[in-house]
Amino acid sequence: MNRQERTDVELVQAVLAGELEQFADLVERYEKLVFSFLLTRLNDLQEVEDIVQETFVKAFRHLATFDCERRFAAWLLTIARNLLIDSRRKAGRSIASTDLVNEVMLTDSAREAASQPAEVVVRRERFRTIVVMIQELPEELRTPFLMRVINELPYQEIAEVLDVPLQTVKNRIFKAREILREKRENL
Amino acid sequence: MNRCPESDKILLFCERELSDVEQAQFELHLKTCIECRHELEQTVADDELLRAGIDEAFARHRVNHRIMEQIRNEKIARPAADVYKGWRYFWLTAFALLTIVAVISLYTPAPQKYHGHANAVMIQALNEESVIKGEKLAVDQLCDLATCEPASLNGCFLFTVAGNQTSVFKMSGRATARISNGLPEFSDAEATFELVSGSIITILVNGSQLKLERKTMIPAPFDTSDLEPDQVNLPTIDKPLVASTTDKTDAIIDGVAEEPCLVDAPAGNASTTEPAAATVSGSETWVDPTLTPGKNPFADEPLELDGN
Repeated sequence: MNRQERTDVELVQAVLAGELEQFADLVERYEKLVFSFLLTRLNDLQEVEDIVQETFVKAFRHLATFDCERRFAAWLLTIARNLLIDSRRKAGRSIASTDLVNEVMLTDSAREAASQPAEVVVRRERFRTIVVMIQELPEELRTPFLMRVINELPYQEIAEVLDVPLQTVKNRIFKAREILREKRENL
Repeated sequence: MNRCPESDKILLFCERELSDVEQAQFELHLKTCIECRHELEQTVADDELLRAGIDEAFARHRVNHRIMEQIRNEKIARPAADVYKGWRYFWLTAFALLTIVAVISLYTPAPQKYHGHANAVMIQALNEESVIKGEKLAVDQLCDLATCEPASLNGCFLFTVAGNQTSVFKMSGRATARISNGLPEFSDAEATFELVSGSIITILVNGSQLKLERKTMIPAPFDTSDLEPDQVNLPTIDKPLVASTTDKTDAIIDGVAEEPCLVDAPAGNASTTEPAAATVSGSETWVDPTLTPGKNPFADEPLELDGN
């Protein structure tokens, strides 16, 4: 069977049966989801990396407790959210930060600005603005919106991962887009 | 700023939430409305920029190799799936069993109490023929089994067993009694056992346990009817007992005295029985002749019925 065709549950069972390398497929599938989930919640990209890594390692360690009736993505995001809370508690900061990725993005863009044309610089500035607007979205709107735009997941899958009704997901994504449009108009 | 009334459909158009007809209508509108077309392009561009920017950041900060390296190098114990599942099944099974036991106990009457340990066993003979260790035991005389065990018994005995509760049972027949592990034990037993009163008791008879309950008897291998205290032989009971001063009655009384009787017959009873009265005849009577004829010598003095 093609590895890409294997379902999450099949991969989990394979890992539990001793095929350690099958876990790499699960990482491949959901690393970006966890990364984007954390990206708009943390200032430090290094910290994002650490929590992404810790999320998957913890998932591996407790893989036998995974309930195959649930979505693996939902389980991963639960672990990531808990690690994020622990991280913020240790750091004495709130989960919602005011200036996250854009600092890193600006650093990155500033590093390359000298060798890039003006159009690229403008594009990066636009990106920073968008990220800031998304950071200001409420948590309940931000997560489904990012899953829709960045991970391009269908509504139904988002509803299953977040364990909310399908219509709720649609409403939240639409509401997030409305807020972003208003913010864009007010720039 | 006045918005195009159709601009509200832009987000639905982006999310492909419009019907086919609405979709086609809005596409026509976009061809004529610069404002909506510009906003749509801006929304799509922002989505693409966001996606591209995060993809770029993700490409720079992927940790998949670190994850797998850590999993391999840190020698994380492989998840013990069987152990976890085993415990899950264990607890589920335990819970199910406990539930079943609880339900059964709800519908099961409380178990009857048995003697766990006999603190004292007292033996009492029920008739004069009862023999303990070759010696007759007087009726109503008590004997502590602990002081005479093993006690060979022959006859009809009453056992009073004192433990957490008290039980009284009757033994009729032959057996050798002793206390064994707190229970009365009867070996070489050819006897019947019957619980008389008290709580149910378990005894040992010829090596096997026997639960004594009310109105339950084990069949005896021989006829023990002659040992039953209620069926003792009274050879002279059919003869009328009389009190008389005549030679005939004296002879009868003498005859009674000569024959053995297993039950004491109170003399007072003899003087008041009807058969005795029936034997009175002639001028010789046991009634004092000096008494006034016609007056009952045993009658009380006449009551003074004066109203007080």
